[in-house]
Amino acid sequence: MFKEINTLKLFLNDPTREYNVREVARLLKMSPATASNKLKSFFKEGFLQMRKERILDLYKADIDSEKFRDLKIFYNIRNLKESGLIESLNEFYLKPVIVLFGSASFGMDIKDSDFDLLVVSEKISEFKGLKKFENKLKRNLQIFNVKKIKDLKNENLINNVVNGISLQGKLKWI
Amino acid sequence: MDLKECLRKNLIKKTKIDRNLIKSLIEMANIKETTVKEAKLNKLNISAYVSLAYDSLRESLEALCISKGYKVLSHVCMGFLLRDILGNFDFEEFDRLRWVRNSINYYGKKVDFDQGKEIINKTFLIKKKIFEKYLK
Repeated sequence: MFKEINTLKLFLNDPTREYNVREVARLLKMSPATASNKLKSFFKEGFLQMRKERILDLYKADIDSEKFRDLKIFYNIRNLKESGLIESLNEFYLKPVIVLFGSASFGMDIKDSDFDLLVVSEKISEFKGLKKFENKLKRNLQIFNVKKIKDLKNENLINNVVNGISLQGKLKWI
Repeated sequence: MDLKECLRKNLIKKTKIDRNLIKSLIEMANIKETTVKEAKLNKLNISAYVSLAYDSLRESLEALCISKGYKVLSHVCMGFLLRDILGNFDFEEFDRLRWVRNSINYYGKKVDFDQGKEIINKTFLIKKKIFEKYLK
């Protein structure tokens, strides 16, 4: 599966975009025949949708597929962790609780979606290194920094957060 | 690292329950707590007192481990052991305090004054809960 992510990353990074076989082959530096086989296999397995337009087979992510969304969640978490963001937040906030919530935590995010993160720490202060990680991840980062989850006040936001994924630590209501 | 590895590496050993040692450890933990509480905290010394507060908690937990028949030679292993034998031990919180203390002691991390004060309060709150539940 991990090897497959390399081929699927075009679709994971931009789930709404359609690619034809030749484009995928060029972007991933593989032969068109290999790309075609892989794309067909992902379509059969339910990760991708396919449609024909004249002589072209066009593929895009099947965002309604649970399989694709599960993989997308994994991909989002790995990207965040491998970017070094968690280490930088640890350095600044002293190992806070970090929760990924919103569309990215459901695997429903698209290219322009933000990564929404809740950071729970005694320290309430703006994290200065955000831009560096936004450039690295090619995403906007929205950080909600509170001392405790209750401080979010907005009921909708709290519900979103509790349905998120903890990247570090455990959320406590009290 | 996990509990199995701690046991395999002999970082957790079975020991006899030594009441005098438990008493001494609790006394020392309390002396450290009093020292922190009576100290004049400021921006410069706050990190050192966060570290001392952690030592106070750790010594209480060491006393608790001995009362359960274990001698633990590593802080991280202490967390694993207590998570395993107490069931409701807040492992994440303790492990975070350990991380903060290590950042201060080994990497020269300076803690902000307000955050440091809150961490000290949290540390002593955990110590108090542990004491009331298991060491009274």
